[in-house]
Amino acid sequence: MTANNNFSISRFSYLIRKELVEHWKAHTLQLVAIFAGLLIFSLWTSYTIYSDFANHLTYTDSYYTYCTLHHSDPQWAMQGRLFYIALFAFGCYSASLITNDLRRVGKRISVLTTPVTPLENWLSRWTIYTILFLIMFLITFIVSDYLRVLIYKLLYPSLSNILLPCGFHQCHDFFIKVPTRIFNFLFLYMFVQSFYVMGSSFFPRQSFLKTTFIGFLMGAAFVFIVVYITSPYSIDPNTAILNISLAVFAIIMWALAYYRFKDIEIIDRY
Amino acid sequence: MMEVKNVTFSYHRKRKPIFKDFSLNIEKGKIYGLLGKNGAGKSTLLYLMTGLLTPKSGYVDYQGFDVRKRLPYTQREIFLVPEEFELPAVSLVNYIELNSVFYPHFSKEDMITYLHFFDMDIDINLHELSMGQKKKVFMSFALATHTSLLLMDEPTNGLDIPGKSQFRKFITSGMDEEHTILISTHQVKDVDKILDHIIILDNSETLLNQSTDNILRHLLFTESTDLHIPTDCLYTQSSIKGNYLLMSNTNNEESVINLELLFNAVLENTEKIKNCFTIKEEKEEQHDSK
Repeated sequence: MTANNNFSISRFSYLIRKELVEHWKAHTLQLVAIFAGLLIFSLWTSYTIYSDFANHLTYTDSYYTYCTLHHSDPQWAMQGRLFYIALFAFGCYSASLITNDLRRVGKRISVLTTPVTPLENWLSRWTIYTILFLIMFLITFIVSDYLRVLIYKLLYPSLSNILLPCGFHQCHDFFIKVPTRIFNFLFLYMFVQSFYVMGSSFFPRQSFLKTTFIGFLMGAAFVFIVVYITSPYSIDPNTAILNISLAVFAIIMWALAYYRFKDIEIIDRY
Repeated sequence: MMEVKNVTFSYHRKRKPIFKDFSLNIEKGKIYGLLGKNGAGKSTLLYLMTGLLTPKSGYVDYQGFDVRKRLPYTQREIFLVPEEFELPAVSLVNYIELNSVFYPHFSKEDMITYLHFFDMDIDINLHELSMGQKKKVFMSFALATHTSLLLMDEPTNGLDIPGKSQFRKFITSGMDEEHTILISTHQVKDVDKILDHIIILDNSETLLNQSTDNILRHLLFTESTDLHIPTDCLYTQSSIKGNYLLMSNTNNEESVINLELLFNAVLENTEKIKNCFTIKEEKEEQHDSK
């Protein structure tokens, strides 16, 4: 029986299942940490707003009427910011874990000798730490948001009119006010996330810190060039071109990370 | 079955290579013993044979495929039991379910049989096991995959006293003409009875590469209480009773291999031992031609 040395969907799915089940504790812990972080931050930031409303402070009365009429929650603006910041922070951290288990020789042997192609091996990790992470993050955010609403409904029953979860229609303004904003965000996220994926391939140890440091240096160099050197010519960036550039760079960095992964050996020799 | 073809390898570009233009041929249906001093390159050779290291030149061929490409075809036919390994914190049943799918010849029944050799059962959680028990489970899984080539690095390290004799039974039970096992070890007494072929490495050179039968045909392993050492003795090593002697087997006498004695003799008198094989073979060839 000859083996398929090209991409095999069945092997790929077996590998994802193996990775998820064998590391279920680590994945669950990460998910719980994200959930706890989101919940604590949203409860903390909304507490002042809701307590002011509940205590009928004069400056909040008109705002309360506005929120009631427009089915709007005053916490939504903060929830929107929390969503963006948390997705970037946790997304980059998750990306930096993509080759985390290869730090240990025993695990490295197990990963590199599993009968799959290097592409299947890499893609299974990319799927878990990029796509699956995004899905789980969205679910975690929605659940933590609903819990915020539920907890404050119990604490302040009088405010039930304005205690609303971040639904697509109601908080449209905060998340996708301009249709292109979501794309701008998505491409920027892809770019930054792929930078951390690449960083993980180059720095098996303390990948998140090292990549952040290099990203900071590169960012500083970029700002220096743009602000001090090219600013006299007033750059007018075209958003579409910028987004395409970010996406292309993201793909290049994911590909570079794959080629680096393909070359990994039992020890880092050079 | 597997050929190491003119491999040159060093861990760092500027350092002396571990292997220089090194070649080795591994045949089907044998249990190989790979012996060598610390730093001789035994583990490195196993890593090269599994594609975990890239040679500077040359390559390792498995049925027409370069193993360094780490393709499923070669990976599913070569299994490495390294000295250092990790098992996930799941039940053994789960581990088998998750990993056996990658090995088309895996047999769960055989896995249970192999576990029984070590007095173990399939209903266990891997995170509750000691290091020695984990090794027994991992070796059982490795043998149950029925890969053509099973490479083991110091397999008896960490095993308890009964575990070592159980290991010998376990290995021989998993052998047939289609499979090959290569055991790299310093614990020669744990494996000396089961080896079909001995390879001794030193300074990137194969000092000895002979079948056990051939070794016993050419060399005689004896123990003498007489303090006087015969002049034709190839190598001697003191024993409790007197001396272990390694002699040329001119009269085709039967003896039992003493790997420790052989290993030390080969390292000390490589040329003498090599000559022993060539001279006798030449004599036999002349005899046959007559």
